Amino acid sequence: MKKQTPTISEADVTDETVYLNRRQLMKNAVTLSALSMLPPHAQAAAKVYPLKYRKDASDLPLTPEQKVISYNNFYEFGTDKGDPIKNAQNFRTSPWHVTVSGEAEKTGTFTLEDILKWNPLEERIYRLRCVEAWSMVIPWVGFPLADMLKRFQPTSKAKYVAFETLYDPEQMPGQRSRFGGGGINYPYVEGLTIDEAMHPLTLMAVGLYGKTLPPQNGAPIRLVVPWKYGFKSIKSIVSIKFTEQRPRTTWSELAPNEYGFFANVNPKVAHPRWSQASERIIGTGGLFAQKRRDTELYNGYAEQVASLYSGIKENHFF
Amino acid sequence: MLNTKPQLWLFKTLLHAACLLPAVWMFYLGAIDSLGADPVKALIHFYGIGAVHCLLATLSVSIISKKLRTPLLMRCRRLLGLYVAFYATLHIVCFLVFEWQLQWADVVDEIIRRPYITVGFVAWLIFVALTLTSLQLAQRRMGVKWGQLHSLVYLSLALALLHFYWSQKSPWNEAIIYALAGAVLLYSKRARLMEWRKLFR
Repeated sequence: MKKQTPTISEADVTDETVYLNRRQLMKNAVTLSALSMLPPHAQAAAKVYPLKYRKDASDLPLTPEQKVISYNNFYEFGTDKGDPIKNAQNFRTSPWHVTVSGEAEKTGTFTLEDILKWNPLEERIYRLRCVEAWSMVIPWVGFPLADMLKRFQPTSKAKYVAFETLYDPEQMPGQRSRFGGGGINYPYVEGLTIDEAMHPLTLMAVGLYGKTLPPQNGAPIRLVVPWKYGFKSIKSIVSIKFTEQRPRTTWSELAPNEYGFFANVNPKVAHPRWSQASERIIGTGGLFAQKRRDTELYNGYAEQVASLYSGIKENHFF
Repeated sequence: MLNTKPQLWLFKTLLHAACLLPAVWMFYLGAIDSLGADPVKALIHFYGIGAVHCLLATLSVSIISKKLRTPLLMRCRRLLGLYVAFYATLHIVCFLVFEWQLQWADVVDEIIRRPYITVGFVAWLIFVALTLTSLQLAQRRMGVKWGQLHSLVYLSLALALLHFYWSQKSPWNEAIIYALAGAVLLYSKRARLMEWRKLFR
């Protein structure tokens, strides 16, 4: 710290830093505004391929595809929801391997091609409820996780299933520094109880809107658990492990008072900083066509999943 | 630069354009659904950050004016300060009208129960108070109290930056950079920071 002298006033000493800082701030401001003013369709898209699958008869009104693929929480590619579509386009999803390990008879490393041969693909139109109090309705293409897991013959010790996202800082800018990746200790990890994993609603998705997943949506293979907040639905999976102990999960580790292991959707249990009672629908139309809806218990899937939690005493709604 | 009245007039016009046009343009993009997947969030964030930018700029005016030896620059400070209130008000209006669809009971509940919203709301109340007393007439009538009241601007900066940081999902976010800039600014003004307390004596 510079000491005051009779010739240099205190104000002069700090002036310089503030002044320089302000220029940087103004630069940032200009860049920010300029970037946000770009039309969203001015971005190159990674290649996606059409899939063959059985259609879902659900008549939920869908979120437009352009919104589904341009509004993503995938901190590996940047913390802003517009970052992943910009930063993930050169993401390599082939070759892709998934390692299966832990408490099961048949473990090993499998290629994506292997995995895709095991089960026919089907469409599932699910509402995705983000913990940030917005929701989308997305036509996923995939297969029940249970059908995949049964092949590995989990043993009686398999009480949980742990998942891991690819760790590749060269391809994923958010993994290069704590700051760029929202403070997360990568790789991103998630987990389910074995009963949740084996539930028929739990989907391994490999596509959306009839095509393979775009990288920003978790290509080439991701989890979709429709009755839980979105962060449970881990993307770009490279490891599946059957465990006896409850596995670590990324958000519950980063902010244990705000995010729990179960994270089941419940309108009555508020996030410590905001209400979960209702949600804004990401749908069609601009400012004046916005809609809110009341959030449903288990995101509307209570009838199918409530029984999973009948014996659980701890708070499974957060 | 900025030594004559016409220059000042031109500079002020440019400032008005720089502050006003982005706000209008972004609203237009939001209205025609060209602001990404979630125009509401995009607009709320844009106006919120806009208010913070204007606030940091407002508080830098005296420093820059001294540094560049251009006292006329000080005549731009009120203009910038009013744009803080302008952006903060748009931020709240979007929150109220588009985010909450004018469900007043829910909004009041949120303001009371969510500390980060409470803090932001208090900052906005300060901006409103400063706007209402921004005329020279008010300055003359209020005398020494005017300066005390307007030193609340430093408190509002701290509250606005806390609100910004607190609203983020992850504890590591860009608001930290703004908080550091704000801290440098507040440190440089440390002599006047707490003057508003005299109002309550």
